[in-house]
Amino acid sequence: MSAPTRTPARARMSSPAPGPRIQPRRTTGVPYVLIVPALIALLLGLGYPLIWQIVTSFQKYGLSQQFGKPPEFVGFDNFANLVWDGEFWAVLVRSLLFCVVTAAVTVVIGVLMAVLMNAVGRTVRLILQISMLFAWAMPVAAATTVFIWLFDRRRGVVNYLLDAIPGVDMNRYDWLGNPLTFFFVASVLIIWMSVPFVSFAIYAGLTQISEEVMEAAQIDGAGAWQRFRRIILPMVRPVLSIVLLLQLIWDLRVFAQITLLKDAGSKSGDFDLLGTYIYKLGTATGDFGMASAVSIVVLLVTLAISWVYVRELIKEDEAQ
Amino acid sequence: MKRKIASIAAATAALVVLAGCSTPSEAPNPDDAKGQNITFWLMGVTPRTLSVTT
Amino acid sequence: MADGGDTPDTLRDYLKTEYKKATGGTLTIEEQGWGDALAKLQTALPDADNTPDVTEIGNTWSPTFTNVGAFSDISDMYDELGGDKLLTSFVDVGKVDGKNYALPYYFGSRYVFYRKDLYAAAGVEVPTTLPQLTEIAQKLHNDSTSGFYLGGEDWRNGVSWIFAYGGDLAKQDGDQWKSSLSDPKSIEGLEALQELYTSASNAPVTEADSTPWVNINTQPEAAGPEAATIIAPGWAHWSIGDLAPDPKDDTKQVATWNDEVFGAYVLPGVDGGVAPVFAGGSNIAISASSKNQAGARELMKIIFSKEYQEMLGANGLGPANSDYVSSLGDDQFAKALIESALGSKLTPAAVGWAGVEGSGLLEEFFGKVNAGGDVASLAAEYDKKIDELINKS
Repeated sequence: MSAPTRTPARARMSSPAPGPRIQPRRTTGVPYVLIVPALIALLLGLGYPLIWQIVTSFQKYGLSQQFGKPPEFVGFDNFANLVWDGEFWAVLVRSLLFCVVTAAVTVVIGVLMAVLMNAVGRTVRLILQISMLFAWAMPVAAATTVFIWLFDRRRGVVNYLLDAIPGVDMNRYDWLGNPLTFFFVASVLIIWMSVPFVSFAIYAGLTQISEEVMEAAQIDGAGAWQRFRRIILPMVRPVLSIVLLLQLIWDLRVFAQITLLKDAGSKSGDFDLLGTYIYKLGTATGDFGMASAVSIVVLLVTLAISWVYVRELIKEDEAQ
Repeated sequence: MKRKIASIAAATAALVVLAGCSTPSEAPNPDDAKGQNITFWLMGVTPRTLSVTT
Repeated sequence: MADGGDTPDTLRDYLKTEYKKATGGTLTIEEQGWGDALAKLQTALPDADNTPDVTEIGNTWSPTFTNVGAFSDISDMYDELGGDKLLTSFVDVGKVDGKNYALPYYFGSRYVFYRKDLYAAAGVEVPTTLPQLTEIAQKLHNDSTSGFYLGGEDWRNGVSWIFAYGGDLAKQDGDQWKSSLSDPKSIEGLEALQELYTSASNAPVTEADSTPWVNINTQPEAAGPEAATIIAPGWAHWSIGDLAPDPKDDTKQVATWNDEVFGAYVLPGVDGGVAPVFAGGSNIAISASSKNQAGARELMKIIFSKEYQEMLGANGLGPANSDYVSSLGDDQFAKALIESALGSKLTPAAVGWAGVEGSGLLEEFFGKVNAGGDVASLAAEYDKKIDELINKS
């Protein structure tokens, strides 16, 4: 991204100001001083844990080290252990699948909701927006608890309703009892919580599409699907890609929902995703070295996913 | 105006740094129990408050 | 981890008042949930600014924290605090190289609660051997009522079957521990457990440390209880009984024990007698990083005083000092508690044991056994996994 991207970025920063030109000599040290507190906070808040994590991932760091014994530098041992650890690969693949499916479904539903909001009248839209705001504002712990109740084996409304369908036997079906249905519940919960954000963002994008364009397309004989596919989608594409990126990242490091669901279900490793796996390695069994190594892997995966998108965004920027 | 902002910012920065460095000062004499305020961690929940229904 | 039954308010007030009298200082009591206590202890104990000065700690975690140097050496106070009168097995898990770091706080134990009405209706008697227990549980069992309600991943109760058949979770070899789930005796016990679970429990295979007492109560608007028999920590009897709305708060229910309907017995051994159950309870220790060592030692003296020990007993918590065990009283609960506690066993005193518990491997293993898996091959697989953690600190 080095040479070709920098030029337009810099050009943009200085060129679009048609007003009074900024005098170069006026730029004293003030901006730098102003940035200092933020920078310090950032370094302390983000830099320190990150550096600690990188250093620890190369160390044998257990509970003894936590209590003051000097850690031993072990090079890439922790990472080498991971390569040969079947459970780690299982968790990684499971997490990636979970995150891709959940993020994709979230974005699809989010887009549909946005299109719906754009199409309906004001009152209905307001009702939609308010209900989605509620879903979005619901604290994770509260939402998860409600979902645990909904899917409760004995008294859950889901089993009750399904069981009422003739020929379906869902009495006391244990949703949290096997990994497939467990992750289904987790996925539904996370989608429910993240659709509002996606649809608000896309809806904002939709309002930017001028009615003239849509009308012109309609006159030219474009059907509803064609208008959606050929006009709406390309126009909200930048928003869409950033929203999808965010969802992917969030869903990859999902932790609270899985922990709470596991508390209501199984302690078994078959129900772990990366977040709970790291917690289990580090905080629960005291192997902070290995836990840090896994965290670094997650960081790299996140960077890899983001990289694709950042490059895409830059390309679009240039194209404009 | 700018100078004023700059000085406030510098002061804030200095405070942040100082806050990070400072340590609680007076340490009570560890060998004398007199007046020591201590913390005791207990585990779990009181049985009588446990739920009796599902 | 120990049974969660814990210090009631009157006891807390007593400690605060006595501490004030002794030192003029303030005692702050903070309650930690068992669920995240392990994580909190790991991060708070090494940090002099945030450490509790004195902490209760699950008896099974004591070896881990004692070995890494989390606690102060209190060998010089050992005799003053009760010495040989203190519960030996708990003292041992808090000892390194002959020095005392953690001492017993209270003990608990697990025994069986059952429905007299259902036993009578099915024409079965209280069992006197472990195989008999399986037999009657199968008779009592149907789709809506478990003969013996036991979660599949509930290893803290399930381990009694390993103990009863003479097996163990791990064996010590020199200063190293080895997981011994594959020991023929352990396997025998696990197979007996598997039979009981698969033929007499409706609990999900993924259920671990739950609240089994809610299953033996007859819930409002339910035709009958979910379970004819459960095993639970002794203090669960406060939560078992006929349900009625709480007079103080009618959104809640209170349980009143009813001798006509409910009964208790200790888990029988394979050939009669008493099966060893998992010893509940906890230890207590002074944080090595505490800046208030003297104050912490004062608190220890108050906790191990005759008055406080007897207050523990009166509240159903087994006093650490055997001189005061009689304070538990002599009702059926006290008797069952003492009888089952006498034979109870602790988890291995290995440095890495807290890690083994934290890893969830035991839940996973017991869950797979109770799901009907092949016991021998599962035992071999999990022996290997546990061996990787058990000697690690």
